[in-house]
Amino acid sequence: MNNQMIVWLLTVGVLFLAFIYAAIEKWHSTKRNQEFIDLNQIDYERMYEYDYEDFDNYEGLDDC
Amino acid sequence: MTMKISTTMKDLTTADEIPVKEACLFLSEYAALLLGCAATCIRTEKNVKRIADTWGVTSEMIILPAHVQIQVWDNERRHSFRNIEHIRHTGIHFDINTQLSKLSWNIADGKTNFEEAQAIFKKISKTPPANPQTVLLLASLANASFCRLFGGDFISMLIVFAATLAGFRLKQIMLEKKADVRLTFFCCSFFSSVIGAAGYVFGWGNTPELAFGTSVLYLIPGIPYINSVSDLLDGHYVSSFARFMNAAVLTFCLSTGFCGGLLLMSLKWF
Repeated sequence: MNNQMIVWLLTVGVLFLAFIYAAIEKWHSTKRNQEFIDLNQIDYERMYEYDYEDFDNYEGLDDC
Repeated sequence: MTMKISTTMKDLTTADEIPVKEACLFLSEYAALLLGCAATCIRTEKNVKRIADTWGVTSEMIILPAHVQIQVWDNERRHSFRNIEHIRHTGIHFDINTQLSKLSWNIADGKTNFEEAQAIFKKISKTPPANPQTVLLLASLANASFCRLFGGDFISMLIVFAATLAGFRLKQIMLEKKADVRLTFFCCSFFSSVIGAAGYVFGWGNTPELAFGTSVLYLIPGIPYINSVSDLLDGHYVSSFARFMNAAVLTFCLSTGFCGGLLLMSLKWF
């Protein structure tokens, strides 16, 4: 294996690593967005349903 | 006093009761989107004039590299509105281009009224770009075909296909990340040329020079060059020069990346 081959393999390797990094970053951002959507799907109506006089309903907040 | 106001308001409408101000806003947004999706100046002028004639208003426009200015008069040339709109760069998008031209013809043929035109225009402006994976695959196949056109063998075609696939994907990723377009062109041409040099490095195929040379052809900004010539022939020298300079800068960046690959691989081409 001569120097030219080593340089070629190293350059292509760097590009390959960049693609892997981009794919991982994209996967993380997709995951973050999904979590964000999950937060938006909180049932706020149920959250504020409890009666201030009846603290038994207060536990319902933990489910949200 | 009331009479005077109502008369003035009447003057501001055309025979078809389309307010001149609304027409001006629509036409300026229309022109900005059309120019942004890489339409030529002559097409933009023709389409805008076609719509303006149908609506019974007179329009004139100034096309600048980053903005478009439109002035619209009523029939009697007593009232006018002027609007400057920033050109909405959507990238080269023939789908939007075609839909906007079709919209202008539908308006001219009386198939679409003003309200419908506004609704259709909003819909057109939200047209998503073509599927990136499909574009990636087709661009790679097209570039491999270029290699064949220049006389490259099957191995060279495969090398060019791989070089384009990697380079074009890198371009998509970098542009998604809002990287500078000049830096993007430099990086893409550098990596594509290095991959394209595989024929020399490993001794694959009989036409390694063609594989190397055609590996960066997908980056040539052909449409800006063609539009530049079209604008030049039409007398829009400012727009023509701006488009030409944009394309020339990108060509310079891709040439620099290509030379970088050439130097890195120690290929004695010259």
